[in-house]
Formats: sequence, C-alpha cells, structure tokens
Amino acid sequence: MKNEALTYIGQAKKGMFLPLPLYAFRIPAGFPSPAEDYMEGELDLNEELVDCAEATFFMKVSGDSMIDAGIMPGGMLVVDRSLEARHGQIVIAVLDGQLTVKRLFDRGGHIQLRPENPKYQPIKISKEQDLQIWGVVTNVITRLD
Amino acid sequence: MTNNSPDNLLSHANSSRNSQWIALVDVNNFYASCERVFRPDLEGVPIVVLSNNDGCVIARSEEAKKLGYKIGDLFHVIKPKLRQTGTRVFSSNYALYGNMSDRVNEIYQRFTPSIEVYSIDESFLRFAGGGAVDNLEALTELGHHIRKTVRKYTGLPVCVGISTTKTLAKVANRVAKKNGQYDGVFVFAPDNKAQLQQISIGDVWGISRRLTPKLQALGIYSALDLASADPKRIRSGFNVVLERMVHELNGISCLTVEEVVPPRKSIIVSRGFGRYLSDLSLIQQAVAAHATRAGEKLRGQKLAANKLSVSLRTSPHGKDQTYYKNSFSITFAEATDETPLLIKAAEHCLKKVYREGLLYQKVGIFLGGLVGAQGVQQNIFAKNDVKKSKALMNLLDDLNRSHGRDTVRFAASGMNDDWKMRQKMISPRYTTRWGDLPVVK
Repeated sequence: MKNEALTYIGQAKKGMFLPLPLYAFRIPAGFPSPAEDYMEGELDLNEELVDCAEATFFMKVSGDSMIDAGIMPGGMLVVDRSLEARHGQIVIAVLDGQLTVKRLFDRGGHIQLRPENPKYQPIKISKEQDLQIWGVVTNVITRLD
Repeated sequence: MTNNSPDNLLSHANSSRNSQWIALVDVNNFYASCERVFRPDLEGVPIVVLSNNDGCVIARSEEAKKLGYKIGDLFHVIKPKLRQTGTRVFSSNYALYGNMSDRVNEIYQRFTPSIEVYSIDESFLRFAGGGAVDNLEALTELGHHIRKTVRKYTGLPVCVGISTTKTLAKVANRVAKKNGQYDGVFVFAPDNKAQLQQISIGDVWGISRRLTPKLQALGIYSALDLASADPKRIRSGFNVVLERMVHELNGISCLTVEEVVPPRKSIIVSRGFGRYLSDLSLIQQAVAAHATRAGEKLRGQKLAANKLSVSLRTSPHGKDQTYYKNSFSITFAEATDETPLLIKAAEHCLKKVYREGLLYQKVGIFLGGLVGAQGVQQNIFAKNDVKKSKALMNLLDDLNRSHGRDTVRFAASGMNDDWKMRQKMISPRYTTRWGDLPVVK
C-alpha cells in the first residue's frame, strides 16, 4: 500500500473475541451501544484472516530472512494447511526437520525456497530431496510496538 | 471444488442398496502423532507420552511399540532404557490433543453430519443409504479421501474401517491398521467370511479378556465363530449385549451411531447472583458452591474433568458501567472428580478474572475434557490416597443425597499451588496459547 487513503470499512470492536485457536480468552469488551437498533454485529478478524479453521494454525517468526516480504521477526503467521502450495507463495516448509518460512519457487523443474532478504541465499531443493510443505502462509500479523 | 469433493464421492457411495454404511475413523498413535505435527524432526523417532503426573506410559509411537514399551510402564523404571534407545518422552499435553481432536472431528463433518465422537481419537461416521458390495470401490475411495484430507489439514495419520455395523466397522478398522497393503483403509463386505475367520475372538470390539476364555470353551475362537453362533443360545448363556454382537457381526445393525451415548463433553454450572456483587469473598463463595455442584454432576456420571474454566461478567445492561466479561481456564495435573481440587482451581481462575470496583451479575463454572473416572484411576499408580479420597467423595455425595444438598460442605479454602501439575516434559500448547505458538525461521 503506497499513499492511497485507507478505506473506512468499519470499526473493529475493542477487545474482540477471537474464537481461534480454541480456548482463547475473552478480552474485556467495549461499550454498551447507544445505537442498539443499528447494530450489525461485530467484525471478526477470524472471518477475514481464516478460511479453513480446522486446517489453520498460527506461528511465530524468528529471524529476519523474510523481512522484504513484510514478515518481521516476532511477527505472527496465519498458516493454512488445506491449500496446495504454488509457485510464488510463501510457505512453511520442513528443512532438516525444522519448520521454516520461505517463498516457494517452482519453475522449469527447479525448486527453491527463497528468503526475502539479500543477506541470505536461496535454498535449492534437489530432485532427490523430497520437499515437504507444511502449510501455506495466508496472512502476516505484525504488532507495531 | 474438484470432482473429488466429498459431496461427489458421497452421492456415489450413497447410491445403492444398503441402508447405511458406518466408518470408524481413528488417529494412529494419537498423542504421539500430535507431538510430531509441530516437530517434523521427530519423524521416525520413538516417542512415549506419560500420564498426567509423569507416572507411566499412556501412549506410544509405532517405533516405541517396536522397542517393547507397554502402556502402564512406570516412567522411573524405564528411564534408563528410554535414554539408551533415544526415545523422546513427553508429558501429556491435553490442551494440544483436545484441540487436534476437535479439528479432526470438524473435518469429518465435511463428509457426513452423522458423527459419534467415541473417544478423543476415534469417531463413528454414518453414511445413510450407502452402497452395497458392488460399490466397495466407491467406499474405499471415500475412505482414502477422508484419510488424505485429515492428513493434509492436520498432519495426523488416520485409519478408516467401513462396514454396515459398528462392530464390523471396528473389525474393518483393525484390518486396515494391521495390514499395510490396504494403506489405512479397509471396507468390510458383510459377507466376507474369510476375513471374519482371521479375527480372533479376543480382538472383537466389546469382547473382554474375561469373556474370551468362556467363549473359547464353547468353541468360539474367531469372529466368524461368534457370527455363526445361535443368537438365542448366546443370549441365554450370556446376555443381550452379546446377542447383539452376533447380529452386528452378521451385518445387522443393532448399535446405532447415536445409541452409545457420547461421553458428555462438558458440564456447566452457571447462575446469576440475587443482586449485583462486587466483593471478591462473596463471589468466591458462589464459585465454591458452583464447583461443588459441578463435582456432584461429574461424579454422578462417573466422569473426571481435565479442564476447568470460570467465567465472570457484569450485567450487559448496566447503565453506569461498561460491560465486562472474562474467563480463565486451567488444565489439571490429572483428570479429577474431586471437589476440593475443583474449588481450588475455580478460586484460582476467579482471581485471574476478577477486577475490583465492578458490579458482577453472574459467575459460571465450566468443566471440560471429560473422561471416564475409571480410566483415570488406572493411570495414577503413583498416588496412594486416591482410594481414601474416593471414599470421602462417595460419603459426601451420599450424605448430601440423603440429607439434602450441602449437608456436608467444603470450607472453601485459600489457594495454594501444591496441586499444580508435575508435567516436566510437556510440549508447548502450540494451538491454544499465544505464547506457545510454533516458531519458524
């Protein structure tokens, strides 16, 4: 997003209840409405960020290998396992038994896991290696503090 | 959706003569498999999961089974061997297992609305008006589709057994599990006598260890032998339950998917106060009373709870204050049905959600993760005072039944932490706590 004005789509109610993951806490809620008759229900971030709840997991980012994709250290990822990973998507892959977030490159018979930070080199996946994709990253949530 | 969608497969499978098909789907080595989802490095590594107090083994990965670990093995006894064999040990993480179980059952809903959650890791799925023997192929395909979907969405491996009755579905599931060539899915045609012959009687669902020798004495050694027995003779010699088993093994459904009452998932005791309360000590008394009531309900159904939550709120219609509502949960060291523990836990939770200066209208107690109290008792070898405590609880319930509610009560005491869990090797609550999310680089 460059210098475009943000479109106002409504105010998220303070302390919204996030039902995912299960057993989440309820957070103190906002104000009794002076406009009861005009209520349209609340905006639920899950509706916006989660398509398939059963297959969606949240993860925490450590490291700076993806900062050029807007994925900052400490950021939270919304990961959907139900999606098929395609070229160009940001995925959670299994690398040497560890979970890693990278952009999937899959063109002309070459498969790579590409970091988004000039400090790091793409990781080439040879034909013999069986690249295991854990899930597809659909959203990043970064706290600005 | 592609033409491989559940709907498509179902309409195919549902299109022929048989009145219903029942699938038993269960997660292979559920607890160990849950631990692996977020730890791909543990693929192929033997894993054991310990009971709530780290007392004994309650679950094993396939590799750990091969190494000879048994359910009930005492942790302190097998410790050296665990180290030698490189076996990974986990304390039980019910928050994780419960969440993964919910996800799996949600996925089943995509295939049929008729589901009986039989236990944390197995469910019966009913498909109405299902196909007949000529449609085994479609059912097998459906089974593989369920299996692949669960695997992809959750990372958990399941086995699927499909047949016309619950008992046969159980048999089919066992065949799927024990024979690698079926790739985790087996559809059992009700007239598959050869297969029934191969199932020994002790492996049939519901045939206890005690019952096995009695049946063998009558020449009933296999599932087929029981299926061929005279139902009337079985009824007079044993009981109606076993007679039903004979019918079920012959493809005549006697146990409906809803009939076996699914274990209650939760108990809720919640009540508004007579007037608005702000004093913590008064609300504490209410919470203790609710916890006591919840404990009675729990024991009345021979259940024990793994989890307790307290929710507290002000009036949503209060004019002079903002609406406040909050809840807090804790997981017990081991599933419990004991009132003192419930009260302590509830008071602990209450303190987490109580804010001074507000006028509260309602407080509630929620007990979740309910399991049979019997099973729990078997798991806690380490604890000596269980019997005594059980006797006390029984006495308490009896007194309150015969002399009226609250004849004998617990003096709700302060909170101390000595009941807190001994779960030294617990994995993060990856899916239920913000602070425990899996970390990716």
